[in-house]
Amino acid sequence: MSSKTCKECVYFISHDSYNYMGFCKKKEKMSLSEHECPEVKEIKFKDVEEALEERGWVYCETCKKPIYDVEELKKHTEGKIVWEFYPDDVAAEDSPAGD
Amino acid sequence: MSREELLFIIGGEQGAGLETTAQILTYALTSKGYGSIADRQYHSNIKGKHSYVHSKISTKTYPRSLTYPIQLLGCMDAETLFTHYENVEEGGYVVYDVSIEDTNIDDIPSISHELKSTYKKNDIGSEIIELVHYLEKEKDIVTIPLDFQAFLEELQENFELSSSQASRYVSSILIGAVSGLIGLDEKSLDVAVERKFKEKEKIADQNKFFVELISNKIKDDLGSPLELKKSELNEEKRLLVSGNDAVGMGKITGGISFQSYYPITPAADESFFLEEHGEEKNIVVIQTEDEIAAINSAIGSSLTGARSATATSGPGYSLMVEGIGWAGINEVPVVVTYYQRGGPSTGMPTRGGQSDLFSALYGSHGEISKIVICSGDHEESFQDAVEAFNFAEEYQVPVIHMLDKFLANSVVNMKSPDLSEVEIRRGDIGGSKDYKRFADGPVSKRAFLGQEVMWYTGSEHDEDGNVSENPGTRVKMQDKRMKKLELAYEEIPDEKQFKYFGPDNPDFILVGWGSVKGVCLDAIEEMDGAYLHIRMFSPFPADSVKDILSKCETCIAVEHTHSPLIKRSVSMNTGITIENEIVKYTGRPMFLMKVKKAIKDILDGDKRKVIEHGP
Repeated sequence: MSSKTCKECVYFISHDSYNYMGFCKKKEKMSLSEHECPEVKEIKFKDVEEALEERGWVYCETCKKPIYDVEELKKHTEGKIVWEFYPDDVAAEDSPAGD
Repeated sequence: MSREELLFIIGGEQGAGLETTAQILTYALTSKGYGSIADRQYHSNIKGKHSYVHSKISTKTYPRSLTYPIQLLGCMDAETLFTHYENVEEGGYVVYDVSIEDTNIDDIPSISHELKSTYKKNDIGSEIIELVHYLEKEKDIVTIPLDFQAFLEELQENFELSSSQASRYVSSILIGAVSGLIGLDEKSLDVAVERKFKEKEKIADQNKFFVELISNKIKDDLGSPLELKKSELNEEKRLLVSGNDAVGMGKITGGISFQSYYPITPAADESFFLEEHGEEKNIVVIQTEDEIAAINSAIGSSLTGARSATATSGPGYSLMVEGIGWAGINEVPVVVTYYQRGGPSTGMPTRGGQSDLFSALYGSHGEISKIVICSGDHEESFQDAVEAFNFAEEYQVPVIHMLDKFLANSVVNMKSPDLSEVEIRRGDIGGSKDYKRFADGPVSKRAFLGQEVMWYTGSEHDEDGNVSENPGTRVKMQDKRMKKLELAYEEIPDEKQFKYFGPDNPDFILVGWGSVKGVCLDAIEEMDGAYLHIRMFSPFPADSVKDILSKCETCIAVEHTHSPLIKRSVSMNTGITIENEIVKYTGRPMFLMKVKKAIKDILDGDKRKVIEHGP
């Protein structure tokens, strides 16, 4: 059995407010970042580079900073890099009108 | 020992479950018969920045104001603890997620530089765990670290979690923790959760399970150290409403047929309420392309005989003033519900203020008669929403009904209105042979579009409505229109124009309007003072106000402005100068302990006290 957890997996999208939970794109269901899963596909630097090239940005969840180029990305090798967020459907109900 | 009252704050990222937490807790507590007030403080960025709900629960009274310190702080994130820890009472309780313990204040981009700087001066340490140790050792505060993720895992073992409802589960962790600490029973919680998730049985079951799991764990580990006594309040029927809801209910009760609006904080929630509840009453609610269209469509609707209103705040009102002038010269009974917020310009859209009184009174060119009424609490908001239509139609003038953000967004358990006391007065309506829309007066018989031949124009006009610049016609028509305010002043009962609270010979009189009513009433209850609450500024109850204020040496204006408008309004109308003032213009509400301290300072010789407390 794999000891890898969801937070290390390329299929796991962190919740935009609570990064200990998220959404598994492969199983299409909610999961937790520390959940152990045999199907974890580890995030490789290449995956991040591809995301950066495709989107023009990625985000270092550890440093809370957006990253826009590969040079900057290399400074965040210890950080958790993400490029998708998972806002739940009920977020709007919890957001008061604020314009 | 059980408590008679409890003050608490729940805080977290905006849009991440805080509203749900507060709604369920407040409903559960009020369903137990407790009195409550909850103020919602949120940021204008919609999602992500720090928000919180500040609540007071009482077993003996229906609270009218908030104060500090709090006894309980529930943190959905690290920013909440860094922001509010200083407001927790010694010996109080702090609940937080264990996963935030290594969060460093410097790593939270949404915390302002000012707050970071202030925090660091206290030399506590930059990480949450250091702050937790400080609170335990220096403030004797009981900190309760909960492993949110472990709870979620336990929930996941019992249910398949719904990905669309993720933040709901985090809400339930805090609801469970708080309800455990205050000893809320399972039944009250179940009712509140079911109410929130009506028609979503599966989600309701998951959350009920989760709330009870955590509540029981807290009770097992700590007992219920903040347990509330049984409520001593009467079992009279109370409604849990915001100020927006109260106005919406008042408008429906008052027979509204048409409401237009352009979304703006803090007014939009009222229109959403009407959209949700007005359909079965055939109420038309239209979101227009801007506020100019909103006022003009409400005017058009009113001309057909429909009770019509619009709702906005300061920036929207600025766009409406030309339309209001048109309504003035054409004697159109239209209601504008004006929710003040922190201006000028965009200002602080989701924060409070009372700086728009003169905008409502004078914000239109030319002289027109308009009635300006101001609500001080939720019950007045309901009553005034009904009366605004009555005044508008009886005197055929625009009516500006003013509220402010604190009133709009605070949730209280309001006494259920006695509908047998509600009057619908439509004024003099109907057509006639040789009908002239603007004949006689000051209030003419009003026929609706389609009933009789009539003309409306933005220009001066004669009795038929035909354009006229004849000097005699001008004087006649202007006199007719302006005389309406004299009539309204004579006919509208005193209690709808002002209200005096307190003894005959007080040490001081607080003079205020709008949402300061609650905190002023609470302040005088504990001091030998009085409160003069002004509900109507046009026409202004000049004789009565003059009579009351001239008998007391120490009069104190209380207002959410830099330079109190009520002082100038009283001076203009009565010639009396109010020499003392308590003001707050941070956008946050006035808190009781600060108002009482400011009154004491003024009685000791200060003239002006500026209050700033509140994150």
